[in-house]
Amino acid sequence: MRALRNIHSALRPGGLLLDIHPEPKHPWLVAQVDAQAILVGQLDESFRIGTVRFARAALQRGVDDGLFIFERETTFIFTYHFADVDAWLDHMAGHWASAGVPADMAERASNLLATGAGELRIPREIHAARLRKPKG
Amino acid sequence: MAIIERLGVALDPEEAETRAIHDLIDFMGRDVLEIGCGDGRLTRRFAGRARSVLGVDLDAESIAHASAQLPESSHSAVTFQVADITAMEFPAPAFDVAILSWSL
Repeated sequence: MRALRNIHSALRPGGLLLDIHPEPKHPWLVAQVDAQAILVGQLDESFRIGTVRFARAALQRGVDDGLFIFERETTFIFTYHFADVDAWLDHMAGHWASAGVPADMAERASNLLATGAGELRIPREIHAARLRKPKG
Repeated sequence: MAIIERLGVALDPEEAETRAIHDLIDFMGRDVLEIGCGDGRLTRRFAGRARSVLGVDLDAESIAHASAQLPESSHSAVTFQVADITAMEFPAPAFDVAILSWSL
């Protein structure tokens, strides 16, 4: 709530708050091989799911307390594209360490990519909401 | 234009995120505070329209990367700062838009 109160102080009356975060789901790793999408396995996003639920509750408290008025929301698919298994694993280690990668997933992905031309993808559902600071 | 983070990786080359944020917010001429700007990936998707942008993040390495990746045309309008939003003080309202980017 401290963060939301500071954001409220930073915004001019009528100013907008755009909140963007992943939906609390375990995303799939997909092998796109010869124009065919094959599910490789699911990443374990348990940690992120917990933080998203906490954040949503905090935002709702901000609305309930009158700091912000909810206006609009949408969802979209944010897709990560990886040329090969090494690129995917490097990204996970460097930028997405909160997710768990099942032990056999890299081998499965490597075997699938070996069957044809393709890449790995992670389509991730993202939620975006617009809220407004009241003018009064 | 695909956003290539490094060789072999592309993040949202379909620009679904860009379409979504611009559908929700008109950034033209706005003063924007972005919390959790990271390496500036999202910042670069709206900075060209905003009047000013202050991007903050806890991670100094990410802020350095964000500054290095910023197009020269946005240098005068965009400032990146290592900061914790919970510790920042705003004596007067100065922003039209605040973005919580995967970070609340």
